[in-house]
Amino acid sequence: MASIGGSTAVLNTAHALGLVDSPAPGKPLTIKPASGKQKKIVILGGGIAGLCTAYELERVGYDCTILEASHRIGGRNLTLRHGDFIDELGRPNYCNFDEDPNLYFNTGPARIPGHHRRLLGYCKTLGVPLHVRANESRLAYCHDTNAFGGKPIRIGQVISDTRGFLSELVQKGVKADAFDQELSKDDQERLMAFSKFFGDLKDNGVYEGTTRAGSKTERMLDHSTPTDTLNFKEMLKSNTWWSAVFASEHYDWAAPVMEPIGGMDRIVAGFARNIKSPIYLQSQVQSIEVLDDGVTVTYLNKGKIKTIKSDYCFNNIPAYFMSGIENNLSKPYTDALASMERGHLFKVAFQMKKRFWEEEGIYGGISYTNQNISQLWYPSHDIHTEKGIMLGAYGWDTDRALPLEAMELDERLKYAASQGDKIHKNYSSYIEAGASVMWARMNHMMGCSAGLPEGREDEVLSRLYKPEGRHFMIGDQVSRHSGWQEAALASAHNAMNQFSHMVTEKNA
Amino acid sequence: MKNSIFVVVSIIVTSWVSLAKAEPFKDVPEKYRVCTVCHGAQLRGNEVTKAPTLATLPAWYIENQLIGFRNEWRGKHPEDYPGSEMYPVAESLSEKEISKVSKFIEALPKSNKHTQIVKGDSAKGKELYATCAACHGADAQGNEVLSAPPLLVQGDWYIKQQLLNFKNGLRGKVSDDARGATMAAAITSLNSDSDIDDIVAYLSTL
Repeated sequence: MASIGGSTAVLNTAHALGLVDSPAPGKPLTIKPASGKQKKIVILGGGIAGLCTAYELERVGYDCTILEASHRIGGRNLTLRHGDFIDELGRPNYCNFDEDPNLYFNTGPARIPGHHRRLLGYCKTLGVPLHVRANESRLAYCHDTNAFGGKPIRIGQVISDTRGFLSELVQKGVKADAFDQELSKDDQERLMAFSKFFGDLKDNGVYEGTTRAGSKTERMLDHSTPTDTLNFKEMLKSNTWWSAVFASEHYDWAAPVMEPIGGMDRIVAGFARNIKSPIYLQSQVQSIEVLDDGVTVTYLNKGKIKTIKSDYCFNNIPAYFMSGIENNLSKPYTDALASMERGHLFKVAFQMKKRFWEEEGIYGGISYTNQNISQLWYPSHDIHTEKGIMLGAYGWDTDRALPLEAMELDERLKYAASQGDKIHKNYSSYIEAGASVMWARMNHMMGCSAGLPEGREDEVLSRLYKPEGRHFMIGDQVSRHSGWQEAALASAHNAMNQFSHMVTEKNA
Repeated sequence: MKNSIFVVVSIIVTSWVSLAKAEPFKDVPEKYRVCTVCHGAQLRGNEVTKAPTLATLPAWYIENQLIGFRNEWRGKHPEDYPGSEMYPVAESLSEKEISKVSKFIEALPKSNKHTQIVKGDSAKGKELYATCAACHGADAQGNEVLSAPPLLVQGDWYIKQQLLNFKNGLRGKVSDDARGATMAAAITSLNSDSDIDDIVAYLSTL
């Protein structure tokens, strides 16, 4: 038997056919300590999943080596500071923020919700202090060129009026006996009381504005006077108010979210501090050969082709690169890899010489616009200091990204600045430095985040959740939640659980 | 019981196919490593990143194309996304760098990784190819004097894409691009996209 396929290949095919129980995805990480001679692990790619794999496997006795193609580890966990190299293909450039530890920008992941238990666990274990990042501000703006004459509206106003108008409709519905089928008279009475509170309605069930949205008069010394309500029909013309109102309803964006103090890459540094395994930078994989008794990887380093032989391989390389890397993986497996699409997430950051948003009462949070820049983020940290870095554009759909990708660096910044001017008066005049990261143009990444082929998600993931021979695919790409560090960790944990199971069966 | 399952399974398992059949890898100077990100190891192409095979293309053709990108003859049409990805890279190269990298590419080992993706009627394609042969040669090996590149180096997906680009005005339509214009004029002899598939299918038989 073994002479035909080798014991691992046999075992693996049994897994692939579902004939042997293997750990289900999402199980807590449990790796048995290394035993026997097969201890050499090669990890391709020093992103979050790769670093996590090295950290966990070396702790149970494996010898890991990380090969990283670019000049740095961390993958898309990239925080920009003064002088940092931005490795965009054809337009390499350097970050021109002032030299100040408070002036940084998270170009990839930027927020950690409380339910990302794996990531928060590592932050705690690795000694990465966090603070709360305000992901929402009711004093930030909702802006739509097609509504309200293009005038930016405070999000608090939008939320209050949305609730008011909807509550008024509920009251009208009850009065017109619209809910008689669903609700008893008692229930309807309770609904009337609740909707009156929810929308801050008058006793007659009419919405005439609320001081929840603000006051036209000085609130401390005088009676509050509700601000004028928006026009509900005008609101319905805009799609932007949905995102302004409901962004925080998204489970991953629900307040509060966290960020490491000093930049998201503190997590990368935390892993690096706690990993002893060698990490080879500028080592680009050229071929992966999976054999019965190990995995041979060739890579290019300082112009030379080098070879590393290992017992097992964890592969964190963006899947769409695999068609350009010679390998002997099976056609169904490489077809699954080739089906992954490149994402076009991008961010633009500006260094503002003055924290002008604070003078408008905005301390953190996000403004939303229907323009291509989509969002403006205000920093929560270092309030009332002189300068700040804010996000000046953020998007992930190709319609927004492609025009910006095609632009020269200066052109992008001017474009984003001119759209910011529509939201904040004199916005452009505060800009003194800027950077853009278009992930689809970033060397060695060429995309964020990986997309699963529509209609084939289950098939592709069920293939990649399992190893092929001694080769395990990892990274947020191998998940239902690409673009999040938590997904990268979940994928790495799943692969390591499978690995531990495989090794245990093999040694049994 | 468990053992019996293994017996059944092992019958359909075959040994890993060795990579030894592939051409050996050649060292790549650090400054050209950037090309391999999209164009793949040894510049043998990557159909997923839509980056063509470059290895063994003649230096004169690579040079023409890099200059073509730099002159905005390629890569500026809004519907040509892969072209737009190449444009800033070509634009960042000096003439000296273009000349050097072109010679490097020509001398790389030949790729033998291509598999047939495009399906068509190769017999019909053979007839249609007669027009192409005038410049590209009956053996599709290309002709430097006529600036016609060899066609067998590429994966069939790329040849198809470029023929569609010429047909749909994404390539060969910028004034000054005389070579591109020649090809854009030649493509008008094809009546349909299936003609393109047929020609590409024929090339796969050569």
